[in-house]
Amino acid sequence: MIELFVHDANGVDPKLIKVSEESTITEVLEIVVAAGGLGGKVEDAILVFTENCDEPVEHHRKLSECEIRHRHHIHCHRCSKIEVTVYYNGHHQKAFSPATTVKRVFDWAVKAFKLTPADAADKILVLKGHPTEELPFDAHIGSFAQPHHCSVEICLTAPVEVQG
Amino acid sequence: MKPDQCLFLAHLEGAAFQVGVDAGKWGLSGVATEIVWPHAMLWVAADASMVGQGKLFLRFTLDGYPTVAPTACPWDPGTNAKLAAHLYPRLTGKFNRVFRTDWNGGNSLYAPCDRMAMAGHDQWKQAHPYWWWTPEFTIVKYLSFVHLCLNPHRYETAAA
Repeated sequence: MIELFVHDANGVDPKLIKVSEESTITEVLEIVVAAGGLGGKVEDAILVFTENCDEPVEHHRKLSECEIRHRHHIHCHRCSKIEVTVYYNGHHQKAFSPATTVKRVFDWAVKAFKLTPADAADKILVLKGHPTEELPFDAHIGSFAQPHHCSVEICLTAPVEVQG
Repeated sequence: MKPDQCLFLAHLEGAAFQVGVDAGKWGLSGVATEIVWPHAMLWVAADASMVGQGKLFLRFTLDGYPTVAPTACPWDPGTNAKLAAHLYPRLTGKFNRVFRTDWNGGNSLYAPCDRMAMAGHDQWKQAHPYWWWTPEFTIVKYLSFVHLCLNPHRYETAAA
């Protein structure tokens, strides 16, 4: 048995599941559903991605065929791409796989806004309109997009100095 | 076992904590079964310029967790005592005051997610809404904040 971190559109934190390394992707989805995920049923419309990969894996493939191993991360989502708009001084937009880590989106945003390392050092990403919701770097961007809404708006922000 | 300890141990086994463990960002020092509640020692990876060993140990006090915010003290696991003041991380920038040795005897972090520092700093709730501790948080929020403070150079490659 191996453990997998399973991300989806229903929450930031992944679920940790145990599966046989000879399981197919469909069987993994069945386990996720049995654990209460994915709205209760396995559908062909659910795409499964490995972390930071752009193309989904085929449902009939075994984990080993997809090079998915112990404690790897996968993402289950209905969207093949998430249109990410990042606001700072202006905005930039790019489509990412749902399985893209927030860290990778952040790195792209740092380049897009031409921030220096010093400027980037204390920046964080928050959901637009929800300034209290910081996006953890280990999370997947697809976890912030609703299942049928393949887009997310986020803000690059600079926390104020901790003082007082 | 009390509910606060049960919840803490459950959160240590949860995916959010384990993702950080796998990434080498933080971990539990010792084993969970040997925790003498309400204290637990964890470590957070740190830029070598901040902490010579590359990781900072924190002794947490966790009674009432997660309803009550944790508090943590930089710790020396070798002597099992508070870290010597001259070994506290020296930060610059917006987090330069988090590891103060001139406040509360250096017994806790000057952080919006630390119960000791939260007292008397209600303005932080508006200033630092993502880090102001709420009962919905887990220990991962505290560790993430410390990791952010101790790793200011992690974007150099990306920004180059």
